Amino acid sequence: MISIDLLSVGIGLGSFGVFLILQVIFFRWIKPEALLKSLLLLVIGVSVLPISLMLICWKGKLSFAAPTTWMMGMMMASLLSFLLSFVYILCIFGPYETSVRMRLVCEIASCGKSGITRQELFKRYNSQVMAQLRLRRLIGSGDIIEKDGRYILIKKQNVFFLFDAIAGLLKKWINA
Amino acid sequence: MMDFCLAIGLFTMTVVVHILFCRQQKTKGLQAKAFIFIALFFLLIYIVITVLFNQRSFEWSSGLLFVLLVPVYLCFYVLTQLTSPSKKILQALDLQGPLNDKQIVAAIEEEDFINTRLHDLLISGCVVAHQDAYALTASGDKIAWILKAMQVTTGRGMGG
Repeated sequence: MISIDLLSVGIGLGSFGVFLILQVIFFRWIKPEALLKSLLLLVIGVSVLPISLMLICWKGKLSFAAPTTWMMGMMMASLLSFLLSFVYILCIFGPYETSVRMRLVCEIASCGKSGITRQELFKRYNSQVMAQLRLRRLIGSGDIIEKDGRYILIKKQNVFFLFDAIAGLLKKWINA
Repeated sequence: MMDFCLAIGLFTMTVVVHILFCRQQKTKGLQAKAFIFIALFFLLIYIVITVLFNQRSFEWSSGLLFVLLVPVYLCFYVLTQLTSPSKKILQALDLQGPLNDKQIVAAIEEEDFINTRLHDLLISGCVVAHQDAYALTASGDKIAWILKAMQVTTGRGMGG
């Protein structure tokens, strides 16, 4: 008999593995404007997957545990899968996709050992390029819309403001 | 359930100790390493308690939960001192109302993202400046190699 604890960890890790495989296979075709929505959908899907897998294990009687323990196991597996995906997005995929530093490293690396002049670097990557990339993503996620050449904020309760609010609260506590 | 509550309780204590530690610091700057050390200390306490008590049910999953909460907290902690270009755009639109391309570029330029990040890369020793040119150091080369490997694996181009 497998313990529910190890089953939760295994299913949580397995679901994250599914997330990684799907992300590697399908995200190569996803345009910047569809990126945030696709990531959100994938994270929701991967957080629900452990519940279904745990239910299958429960029905298959992989472990003789009380229903409350199974419920707790489902919650743990789902939480672990969600957190693994969240950490991957925040610490690996996010910086790779949006970090200014990483883009600068890529641009400098593309010129080889001789390096790149400041002028050339700023010609390839500048505030204009940065703004266009982000505007495409924000339009795609439905946070802003473009109307008559002007951009309008339509979603004030988005993920950026939520993160900002949490960071603001933390800052307040640190500086109190 | 006890392991879960223990992990969450000890993680909350980790955050509280870190906040108190940051308040004591006179110099500004991120105290990420200090947080990792505090987290390791509380993780050790978690391991000791779960080994000592026999009524264990979710010790592995709760332990992993504790470990995963560390980078989550660090991400929010970093945001207390850094702003991203996307956030800057949204803030500008929120405060100033509808903006055109030029105004958005101007809002981004206020923060001087490229120069500050380039400066960080120079300070951290990933990039060196020779006269008017920038080149990667050995550690910068390693990062570039990892990024290239990610580009090949994920099939996505350069971000930014």
